[in-house]
Amino acid sequence: MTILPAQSAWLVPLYPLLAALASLAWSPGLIRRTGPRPCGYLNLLLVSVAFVHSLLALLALHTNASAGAAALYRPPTFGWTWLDTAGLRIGFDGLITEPALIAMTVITGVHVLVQIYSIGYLEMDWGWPRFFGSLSFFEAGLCGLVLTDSVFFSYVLLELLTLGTYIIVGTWYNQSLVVKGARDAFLTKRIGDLILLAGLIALLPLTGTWNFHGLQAWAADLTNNHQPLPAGFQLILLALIAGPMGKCAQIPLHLWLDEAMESPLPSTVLRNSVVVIGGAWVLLRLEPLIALSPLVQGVLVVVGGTTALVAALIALGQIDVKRAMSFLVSSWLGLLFVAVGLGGIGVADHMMLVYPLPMALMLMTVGTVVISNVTQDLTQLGGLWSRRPLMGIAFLVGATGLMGLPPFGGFAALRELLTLTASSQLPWVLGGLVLLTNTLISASLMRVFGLIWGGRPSPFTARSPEVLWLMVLPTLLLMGFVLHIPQLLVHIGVYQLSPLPGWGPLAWPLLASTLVGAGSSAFFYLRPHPLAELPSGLGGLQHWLAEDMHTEAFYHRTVVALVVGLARLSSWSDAQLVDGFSSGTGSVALAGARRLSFTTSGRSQAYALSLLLGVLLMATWLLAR
Amino acid sequence: MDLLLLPLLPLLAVLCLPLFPLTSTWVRPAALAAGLLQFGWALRLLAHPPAPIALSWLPRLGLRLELGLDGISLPLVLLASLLTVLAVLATPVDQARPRLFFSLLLATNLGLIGSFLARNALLFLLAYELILIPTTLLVAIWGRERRAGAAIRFLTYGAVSGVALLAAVLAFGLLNPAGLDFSYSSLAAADYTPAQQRWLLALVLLAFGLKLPVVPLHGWQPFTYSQAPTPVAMLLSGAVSKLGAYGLLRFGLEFLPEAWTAWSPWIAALGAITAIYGALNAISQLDMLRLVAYSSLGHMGMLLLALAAATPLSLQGVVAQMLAHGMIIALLFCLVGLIQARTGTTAIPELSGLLNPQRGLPFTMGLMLLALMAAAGVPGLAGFVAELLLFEGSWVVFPLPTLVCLVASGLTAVYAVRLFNRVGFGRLDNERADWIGTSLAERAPALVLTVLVLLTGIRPSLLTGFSEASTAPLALRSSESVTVIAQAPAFAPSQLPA
Repeated sequence: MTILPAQSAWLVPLYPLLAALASLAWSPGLIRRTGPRPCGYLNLLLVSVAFVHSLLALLALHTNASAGAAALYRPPTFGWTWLDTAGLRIGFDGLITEPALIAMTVITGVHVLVQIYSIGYLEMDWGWPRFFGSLSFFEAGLCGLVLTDSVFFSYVLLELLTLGTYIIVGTWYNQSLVVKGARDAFLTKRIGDLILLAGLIALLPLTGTWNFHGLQAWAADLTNNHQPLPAGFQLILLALIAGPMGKCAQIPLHLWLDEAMESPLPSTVLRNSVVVIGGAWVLLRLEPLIALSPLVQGVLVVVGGTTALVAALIALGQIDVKRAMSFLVSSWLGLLFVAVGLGGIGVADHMMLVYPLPMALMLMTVGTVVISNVTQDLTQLGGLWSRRPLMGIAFLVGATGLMGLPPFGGFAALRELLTLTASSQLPWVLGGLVLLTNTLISASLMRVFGLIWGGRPSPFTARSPEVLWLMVLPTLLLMGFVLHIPQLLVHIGVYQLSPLPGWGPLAWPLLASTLVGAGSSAFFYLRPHPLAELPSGLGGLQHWLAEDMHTEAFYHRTVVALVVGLARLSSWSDAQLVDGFSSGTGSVALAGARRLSFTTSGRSQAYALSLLLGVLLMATWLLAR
Repeated sequence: MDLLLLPLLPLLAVLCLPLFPLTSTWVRPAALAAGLLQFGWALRLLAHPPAPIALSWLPRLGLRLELGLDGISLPLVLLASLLTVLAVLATPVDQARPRLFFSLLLATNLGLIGSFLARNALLFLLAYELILIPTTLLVAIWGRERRAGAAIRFLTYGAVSGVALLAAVLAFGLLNPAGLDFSYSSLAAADYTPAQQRWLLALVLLAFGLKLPVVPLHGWQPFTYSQAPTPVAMLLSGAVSKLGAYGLLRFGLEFLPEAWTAWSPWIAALGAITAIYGALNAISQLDMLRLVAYSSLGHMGMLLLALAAATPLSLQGVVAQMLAHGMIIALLFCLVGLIQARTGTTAIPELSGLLNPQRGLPFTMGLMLLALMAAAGVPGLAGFVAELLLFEGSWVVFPLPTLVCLVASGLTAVYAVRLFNRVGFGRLDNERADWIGTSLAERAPALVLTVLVLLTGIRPSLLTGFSEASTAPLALRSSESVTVIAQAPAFAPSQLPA
């Protein structure tokens, strides 16, 4: 096998980009002639091409021993100069590395499955061109993100994904909740992006480069020469991590992921699995800089730890199944932030590897339930085990992939994290945090499973046929992949097989925490009508959690109120002061002109008198000189 | 003589158009032809740089016919000429009193081109003053409901700006140590005393601050832009306001460098205030036209900040912002005009769901989303290139005002999303929605601008490529801390993973 597919891997983002651009022809032009479906098929075709290409590239790197090894150690590069003016050169500077190819294969693979799934999910929808085009746009952005070696282009792509989120959340734009969700998602993410941009602008004068490898070299230089950190550097770093914080929906920028749940479910699958990982990717690439500052590392641990715990709690209280899953995303990625904050780049890498597929799988099964039972309210579902066991099994497989249960994928990563925390400065606090979060996540996943598949059927689920094969097939395919993750990771040498993949020190406490969480949740929720039996005090707590601890109201009272207040103030001052002054000058001029017009009275005596006065004045002036 | 053709074409058109018969349908095509010829000629000059012209005109006054093109004025001439063509295209075919309308439009173009070409301050003054009358008449005769007030206010502010510029130009010439000489080369070389520089700069700031405009001299701007007919609003906001920036660059930065350096912190602060004030006001507007007008105000503030910083990078940002903003704001006005032509209103609360593919205006709204995102500085579009250069170039000199401008850029997204959420998203009002889709002829100006906004966002050298040689000598400060190392090759072999 030649190395060619790897060297031309820069083409991969271009296929879906082409598909996204082609979709524009259908909205609204071509759709009148062909209907919406050809556009979806075209997108699926190009996305599949992208998947095949990146898979070939990955295989080429692995099977071609000599060329592959050369490529591993000297990755193919490609450059595209975007801007070159007044001494500032900004280029895309692509770097085709093995991790990038793995990430790209996962991204394109999930996209292929999701687009097939969408054909089933949006069977009767007319918004195909916009929806599929946006999905492909997302894929193009993500593939570009993993290829670029420039932190600046990472920002550019994250920002474009923000715009993509706005468009895709607004797919069903005539519902008011959707409109609000699109707005909030866009603005929250944009705050993170803008802080990141500010950080980048301030970073360039210090480091002189925006390339990750250049930054790494700069950081190494600083450490080796024992130089102090430049003034303000920690502040800049804090700004830099705001971008990933926003993307990964970490507190306090977590609001958008919840709001983005208003989008059609297939896009939720992508967003919660691969798009959020885009933020983590950028964070990992910034790690050499972050390692310079214990303060920023501490911030990452605090933010990640808080998010992990709080979001897992909030997820336990959610009624809406999509929202319950979305808070689990924040929670799991919070653990990843903790890993990065503790300097465990390898652990974070592994967490990133095992996360996307199980999450995508669970959301896809949830989608098959939502579409055929026309509700996503957990209290109205139940008893589906007797009707939809296949999807129940698929959900369980996904859930086991994220909780610390051997031999599934998540176990090894979480155990590594636990070992990492045990060797940190606060082993008991952080270790306890990981265990507690794992307990809560396991409980939350079992709760969702119990409320949907356990208990007795409700009026909504009494008649629940299996859905179109277009949705079942990709779900089951993905289930197969998820089951194979541990084997794959052992095969490529990420974990050792002894006696189970990733087994090692501290495995028992982790396993115990999972069993406690999942077990107690199963005990409560696998029985019929468990929510009705909640004591009223707990019900209040649950309501508070379901409302995301009133975060949205808090933002409305603070940030939004501030902006609205300032806007009103400046609008008032503009109307009163500036406008008043402007129209004031106008009326003064008009009034003056009217007064002056009275001087033309028409009496010749008056004119003669004024003439005489004028002549006298001039004569006086001449004589006085 | 290549250069003379640029102003002669509109001059000829202005003189000939009134001679057309009353019912002639050839007025609009003729105006379009004049604009297109001029634009084509300007493009040709891009490839073949013309020789400057210096002819004696009224030597006793110091007025000489000095015309020339450099890297700063050439892109502006292209912009003005392009926007004239698009303004003609955006004029309805059944425009009332077409002969007068197009004559005035081309007279405005004549003034614009003259100002950008002039290499003599007195000549610049003449061309600058020439613009005021036709634009006022265009607003007063063909404007929207409150056109009379808007025109009066525009005229008043414009007249003050003109008087201030007259005083400044006369003082420039009279105080010139080399004798009564208004030519740019002589003014740039002249050594004015610090006191003289301060007074001159005060006048220059007043004159062009009114034109740009900056807070608090912007009283005319939202009112005039929102009352002007669509093509005139496009030309006014897209091209005429650029005269303010261009004037500050020439008369402030180039001719009065010491005073400019001394005052630049204040000017930067003024820019930051204007940026945030414009954005905040745009958030609370209920009318699309006024929203776009305030958005323009905010972007002019960022431009002023970069002018104050005066590093090579920020000056490149100034040129890029002039071009990018010129295109984006014209596009926004054009689209709002289209929406008004169909729905009969520009009030945000009265509209919703226009994105509806069946009975809404999906095409117009698609372009609207792109234009709003360009204004909000989303990457991949022209506005981002300009903002990036502005911010990076100004950061090394004025970090705090740059941060304020970044916040303003964030607020830009707020009003952009707010507008699109209310007007594009939501339910279509079934009672009113029976509009005919826009025709290709109506879309043409918006399409051209959209393509340009996209193209220049992806290939920014189209915005910055002409002007580097001309802006670099004007820089008063260095941006080397940003750029010296950034020139290094992207990958040093030692940096790659081993």
